[in-house]
Amino acid sequence: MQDKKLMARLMISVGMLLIGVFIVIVIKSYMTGQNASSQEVNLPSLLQLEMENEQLAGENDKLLAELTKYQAGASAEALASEQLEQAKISSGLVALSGPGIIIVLDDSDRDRSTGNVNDGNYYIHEEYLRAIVNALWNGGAEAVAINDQRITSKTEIFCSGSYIQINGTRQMPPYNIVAIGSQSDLKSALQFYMWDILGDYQKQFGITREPIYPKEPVTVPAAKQYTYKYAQPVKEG
Amino acid sequence: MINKHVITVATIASVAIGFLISLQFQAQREMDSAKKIQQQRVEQTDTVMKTLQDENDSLQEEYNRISAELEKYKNKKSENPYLTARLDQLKIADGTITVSGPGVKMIVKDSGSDTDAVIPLSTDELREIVNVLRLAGAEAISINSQRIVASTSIVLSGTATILVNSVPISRIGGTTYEILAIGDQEVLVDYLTNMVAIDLKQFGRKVDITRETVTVPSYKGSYSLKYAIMAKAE
Repeated sequence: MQDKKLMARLMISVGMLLIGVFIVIVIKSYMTGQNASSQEVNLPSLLQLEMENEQLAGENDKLLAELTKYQAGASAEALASEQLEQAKISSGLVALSGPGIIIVLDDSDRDRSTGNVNDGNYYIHEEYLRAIVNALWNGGAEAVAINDQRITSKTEIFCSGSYIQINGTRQMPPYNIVAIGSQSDLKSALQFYMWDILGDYQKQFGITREPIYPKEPVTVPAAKQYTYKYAQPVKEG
Repeated sequence: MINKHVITVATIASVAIGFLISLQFQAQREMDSAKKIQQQRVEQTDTVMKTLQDENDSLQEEYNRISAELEKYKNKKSENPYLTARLDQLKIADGTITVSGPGVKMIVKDSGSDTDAVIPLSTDELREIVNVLRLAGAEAISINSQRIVASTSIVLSGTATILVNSVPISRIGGTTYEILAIGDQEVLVDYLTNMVAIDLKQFGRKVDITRETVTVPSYKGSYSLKYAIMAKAE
């Protein structure tokens, strides 16, 4: 009797042990199947390389075109002044006009209850402006300005309390964002998360978020020139 | 009584073991075929990768050759130093020239054993870093070798890949971000430390800010205008 009880205990123990071991083996084999393969890790670097190649090829074409002009005997002065005109445009020193979009953002004029956690949602914040400008560039905008301040490579959009600082100037609402580019491309570039949130705030809190697609061309003013003090050009080649 | 118990337990155990064994076999079979496919895929990817790398090398070579040739012409004929200086200034502004100067290097790690980061760095945070650098008067900025110009967009592609100038700069499984900026080192370090690093560190990211003479690469995108024309002077 005592012997049989022992037998039973032993069998149960051995059985449990075996089940345990098998469960571990099964789980382990499934787990290894889920590990990120080297191929998945490689994919971004593959894309990166492809993009880089594309950029390089474009760059080479540009340089080759320039070289061809020199070799054809064009005068260096004429070429340099042509380059100067181009560089003025691409660095934002020339006012541009063309088809585009105007976005009006404004604080809510509704009565705000004080001390409410949602108080911030009645105002237009710096990150909205940054996110929208970013989306417009992503949509292929060729020039962007906010309240007649041209957005350049040095432009900050920074909240200093009661106003937003852009190009060192104080800007107050309403904010008029003007962008030149394909209207349909710009429109679809605006289909992003924060844009939808602002749409909700418009309904709920009464802020203004108004995209306008005018038939006539829009104009973006020129930026002020800045003299670089720290950055020195590195001649390539 | 006990005998019955033993038999019941033994039966249940045998069935369970049998079930698990068959499960294990099946899993193994699936694994084997999956592995084979995986192997093939990896080989294919490696081939594509190698082709791209070769292409990249030859393009790089071509680039060096053309720019060397071009430099010869330019050096020979640049007789107007005023014009050249002005052009350089504009090229720093539009980002089409590589520049170097005093500045800062900021390294941000959002993963790895030496960080407690749980959330990867977001595009919002990258834009904020750029904005603070601009506020600090940075004259040239790059993130992982992509020059930040006016028209640079920083967006997410899919769920994890960050594109800067339409080029992916992040990797699955964590990215080390190298942000370079040229300008007044005092101001840059002060602004980065007080307005950026504190927030980033709060989320467990590792942030390293060093003063260095940095070289910021040129912008490789194009500036051709399709829609905009010069506005008439009013």
